[in-house]
Order: sequence, then C-alpha cells, then structure tokens
Amino acid sequence: MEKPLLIKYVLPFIQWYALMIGLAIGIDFLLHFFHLVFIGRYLGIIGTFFVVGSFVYSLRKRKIIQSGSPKKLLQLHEYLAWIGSIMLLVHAGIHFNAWLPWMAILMLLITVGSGLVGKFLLKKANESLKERRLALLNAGETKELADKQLFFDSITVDMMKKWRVVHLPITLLLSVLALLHIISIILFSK
Amino acid sequence: MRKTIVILIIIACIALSYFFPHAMINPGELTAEHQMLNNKCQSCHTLLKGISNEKCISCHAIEKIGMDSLINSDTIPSNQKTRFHMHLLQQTCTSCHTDHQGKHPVIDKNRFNHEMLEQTVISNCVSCHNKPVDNLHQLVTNKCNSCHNTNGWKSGATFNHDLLVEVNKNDCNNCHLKPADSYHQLITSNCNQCHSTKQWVPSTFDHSSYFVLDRNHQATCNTCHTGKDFKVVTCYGCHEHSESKIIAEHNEEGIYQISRCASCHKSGNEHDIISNGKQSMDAEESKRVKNFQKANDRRKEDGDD
Repeated sequence: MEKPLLIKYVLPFIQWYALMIGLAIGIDFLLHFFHLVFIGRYLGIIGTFFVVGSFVYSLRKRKIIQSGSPKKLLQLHEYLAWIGSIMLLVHAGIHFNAWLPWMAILMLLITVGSGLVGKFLLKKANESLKERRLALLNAGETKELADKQLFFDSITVDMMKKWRVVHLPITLLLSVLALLHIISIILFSK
Repeated sequence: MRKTIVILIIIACIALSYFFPHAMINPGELTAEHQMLNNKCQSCHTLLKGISNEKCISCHAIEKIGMDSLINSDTIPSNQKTRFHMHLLQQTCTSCHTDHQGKHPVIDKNRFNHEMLEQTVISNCVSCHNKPVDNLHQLVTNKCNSCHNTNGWKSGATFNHDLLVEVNKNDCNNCHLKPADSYHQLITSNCNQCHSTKQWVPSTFDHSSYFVLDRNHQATCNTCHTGKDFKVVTCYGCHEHSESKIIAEHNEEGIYQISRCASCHKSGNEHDIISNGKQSMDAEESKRVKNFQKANDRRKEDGDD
C-alpha cells in the first residue's frame, strides 16, 4: 500500500522548514556563546539584501525584466530567500519587544512556509493524486469509490493549492512591515 | 476583493505604527534608572543621528560620574572606581552602554575596550579592578600586567615566580598542591629537587641516570628510599638483597665498601658493573673492583661460548 501524501510529501517539507528554524537557533546560540551578538545586527542587513535579491525572479516572471532563465531565477529565488530568512531569524532572535519587527518575522515565517509548499509539495502531490486515481480506475474501481479512497489526499492537495493565495499578499505585507522597521531604525539609530 | 483586504492590512500596519509608535518600535524596556524617560524617545535619540554623547552628558556630567547621583544617592551609590570615565580618550557612551535591555540589564563587559583609556590608567589596574583575594595574589605585587593582559584575565596569562615578594620560594606547597599520584604522595622533600620554576614538565629528574629501574626493580619508592632524602638509598629493602649475603659475596672479591650499591651496579644487573665510584674508593679497592669487573666480563664471554 502506498504511503499517504501527508507522509510522502508533507513531512519532508516540514523537515526543510524545521531545518531553517533549527539553523537560525543554532547560529544564534553560537553568536551568544562567543559573545558575537553584534553580528546579528548585520545579519539583518545582509539577510534583507538576500531576500530583496531573490525578487529578481518575481520581476522576470512579471516581465518587468526580460533577460535571465526563469527556471534558474526561480532556483535563485528559492535559495536566496531561504538563506536570507535564516539570517533574518537570527537577527530577530527570541526577544519579544516591539510589535513591528515581530509582525514582520511572523509574515516571514508564513511566506517561507507557503513558498516551500510551492517548491516541494504542490506539483508532486498533484501528479501523485492523479496517478493513484488512474490506477484505481484501471483496477476496476468505480469513480465514486476511487474518490472515497483518495478523500484525505484530495483535501491535502486542495489545501496546498491555496499556497499562492497566501504567498503573494503576505510577501507584500512582509515588505511593508520590513520597510517600516528599517525606517524606524534609520530614524532612531546611527 | 483580495486586493482590498491586502491594502487594508497594509494601511492598518502603517496606522498602528503612527498611532502606537512606542509599542510598535520600542525595542525593549528602559533600565530602572531611566524609567522616567519612557516613551520620550527624543530624550536620548536624535532623529537620523542616533544617540549623541551630548544627550547623555547633558544629564551624566563625565567629571561627576561615580561621585554622586542624578536622582538621589540611594539609587546610584557613589563609586570612586567608575571615575575612570574621566580618563576615556574617546568618550562615546554607546561604545559600552546600551539601553532597552530591561530594567536591570547585565552590562556586557566585552564591549569595553581598554584602548579607550589613557595609558596611565591602563597601567594602574587596581584603580578599577579589585585585586583577587586568593593566596597567590596576596603574595604578588600590583603589577598585574606582568602576568595578565587587557584582552582577558585568563587569556595569555603567564606567571613569573620572581614576582613573589616576601615568600620562601623553596616552599612550593605554599601555593601548589602536591600531585595526587602515588609517586608524588611518597615524596616529602622539596619539589625543586626535580622541578624548576620555569616549568613543571619535563622535570629534571631522570632515575636512569642514578639507577635503571628495569623489570626486576619495579618496587615502590620507599623500598629503596626509606628516608625523606631521596639521595640516600639502600638495596637491603628487599628479600633478594639481604645485607649478610651481599657482604659475604663482596668480601670474597675484597670489596668492603658496599653501602653505595648503585655506584657500581647502576644498570640494575649484578653482572654489569661499572667503576664510576672512583672518588669514594681508595686506589686499592678501585683496582679490586676493576679486576672483579674483568673477571666478570671473562665469565660472561665463557658463558656466551
């Protein structure tokens, strides 16, 4: 019997997400251990540049820029955004103070999560669901019975399909919050 | 519809920042002493310029730091040691001090760099630091930089025994613990018989230069060294070397000086004899030892054949 989609695709996705958070916590711990906390401040700047750099793909996709392979730019978008997010998480640390940066971090986590859904899950899960339905129909099952057997997998895929609904507006919101945070830093710090 | 929701959320964020700026951007609570400045950002911050020294100094006059309190003498006690602020070459307050870390923050001393101080202050460590109260530091002078540097108390710390004042430098136990191993526990004489003040390891002691501890002589130290002085040795501490038997055996060869066995039997082998004890033997006895050594060598050669 084949494994459900949840185990086959969703768990590996969670591992990637957990790796990002785990790396951020690990780096933060090391910075504190070696009394290099000040580096966290600069990681915020570098991480922001990484994330902003990843938007080249978005510009290419919307044909604002014409050059560059969309496939390669998509890969660049994924890696730059993922690495930049780790830096930004280290930069944020675990300090519950001002609302603004914490709202930005929350949006960052949602954006990365929805991005990973698009990268790892949706296409494969959709293909897998179609193959299973076809296999059941070929085996002589009726359409109703096949749908019944694949009920939970169908729900999983439907949920995943909503990733773009989340990814784009939350990214926009993240940009606004990050911008406000940066403006406040420029206003009050050197 | 979706676009409207997004735009509304963005407007809400901007509105929150505008109407609740302190909650939105305040990075943390001020110290207990600065509580009266809560929500008065521009008391310390200058827009686009950050925190200027002038703002700090307007309340904390440098020449008065450590002398009195801005609020009252109960909350900030007078501390002469903090008066080193007068001797700072670069008086950039934020180099060391920060805020928004809670009411009672732990000051990160790693942010302090001694190079910000005048050389005269750097050289006079005790003007800021307390001298450690342990035994060792009570015995040394106040020239801390002879052993320590400003990069860290322990990093690169070296020690020169010559710094010790009014101390019997032969009494190592005054500062050092005797090693816990069985060998050192047996030794009651002074460490400098084997070790120097330059370094503990390697010691200058090589037992083989006095007597080889081969497989037949793996005895505890006090088998041969029965007294506290390790220069005094006896071979009669074990069953193999009874005094009467040794005397009888050596008298046959005309040797009567038998109290310094290792003078001739340094290798631990009774047949491998060297006559390096010339100074302690008279000429006649030395001659007899040499003859005995030759006879012994012949006997070994015969045995080999």
